[in-house]
Amino acid sequence: MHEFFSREPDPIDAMLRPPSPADNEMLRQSVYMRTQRVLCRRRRLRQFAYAASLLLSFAVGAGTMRMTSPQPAPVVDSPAPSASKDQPQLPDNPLPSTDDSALEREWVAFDSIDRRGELYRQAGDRYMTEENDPQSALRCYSNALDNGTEQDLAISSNDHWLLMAIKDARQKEKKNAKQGG
Amino acid sequence: MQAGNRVERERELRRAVLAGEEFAWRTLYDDAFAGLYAYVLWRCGGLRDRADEVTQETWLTAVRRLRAFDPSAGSFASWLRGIAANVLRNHFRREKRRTRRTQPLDSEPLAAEESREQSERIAAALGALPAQYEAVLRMKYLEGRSIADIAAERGESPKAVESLLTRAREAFRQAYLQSE
Repeated sequence: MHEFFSREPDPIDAMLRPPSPADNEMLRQSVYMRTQRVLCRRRRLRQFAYAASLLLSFAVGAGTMRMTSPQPAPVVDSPAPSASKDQPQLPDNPLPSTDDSALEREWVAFDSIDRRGELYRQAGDRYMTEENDPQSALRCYSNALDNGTEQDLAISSNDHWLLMAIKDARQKEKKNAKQGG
Repeated sequence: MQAGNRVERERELRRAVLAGEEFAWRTLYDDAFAGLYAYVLWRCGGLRDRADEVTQETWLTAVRRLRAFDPSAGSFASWLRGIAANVLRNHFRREKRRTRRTQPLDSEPLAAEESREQSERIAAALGALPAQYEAVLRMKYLEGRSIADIAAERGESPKAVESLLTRAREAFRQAYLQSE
C-alpha cells in the first residue's frame, strides 16, 4: 500500500480533489422547506409568548390597581356625616357615578340638598351589598328616612331587608306614639 | 467582500431572521447552500447519499441554533462548516456502531463496493485530521486557492503554508492507511 502512494502522480491529490458537482436543486428546495417550517413554528411560538405576556401584564396591572385602590374606611374612622337639617346647605352635587364607593356616595348624599334621602339610601345599599358593613348601612338608612317624606316609610319589595326592618320599626314607633299620645 | 461589510451584513441578516423575516433566511440560505454542499460532499469522499443527509441535518441544526451565530467571530459559511464537521463526526460514530452490528451487503457489485469503500476511507481520514490540517487541505483542494492566498488569509508566510500543507497531506496519507 505504501508503494501505491509513492508512485507519481501522487494519488493523494486525486483523493483530495473535490467530487464533480451534482444537480442538487431538489435537495436545496426540500431542505429549504424544512428549515422554513422550523422558522414558522418558532414565529408562531413567539407570537403566542407575546400574547401571553400581554395578558399577564394586564392581569398584574389589574391586580395592582385592585390592591392599591382605596379600601373602605373602618366604621370607627369614617366621618359619619350627620344629616342634621340645621347644617349649612351646600350647593347640590351632580349625580354620583355608579363606580363610587359607598363612602363616596355617603359624602355625596351629605352634600346634597334635594336628593339627600335617595342618595343615603343608595349608599346604605352599597354598604350592605358591596362592603358587608351593616353598621354603616344602618347609619345611612336612618339618615335616608330622616331626610325622606312620609311616603318613604312605606315598605317596598325593592328595599333591602335591613331597610325594611328599620321602616317597620319606625312605623311601629309612630303608631305607638300616636296611640300613646 | 470586506470583512467589516461582511460582519455588518450577516449581523443584519441574522437579526432579521430572528425577527421572523423570511427573505433574510432565504438570502443566507442561497448564499451558503452551494458552498456547504460542496464541503460536505468533499468531506464525505464523494458519497452523495451521505452528503445529502449531512447537509440536511446541518441546515436544520443551523436554523435552530442561529441565535448562537456570532458574525464577528467568523463568517456564516465557516459557522456552517463547523456544524457540518460535528454532524459528520456524529455520523461516522453512528456508522461505526452500525457496521459492527450488521453484515456487509453481498448484493452490491464489486466495483461499486470498492469505490464506496474508498470513499468511506477518504471521509474517515479527513474526519480524523486535526482542524488546521483539514482547513489547509480544504482551502487548497476544495476551494482551489493558491499558496499565497492561503498564506495571506492565515497571516503566515507562503513557506510556512507549504510546510503545513506537506504535513497535512502526510497526516491524511497516514489516516487513510490506518482506516484500511
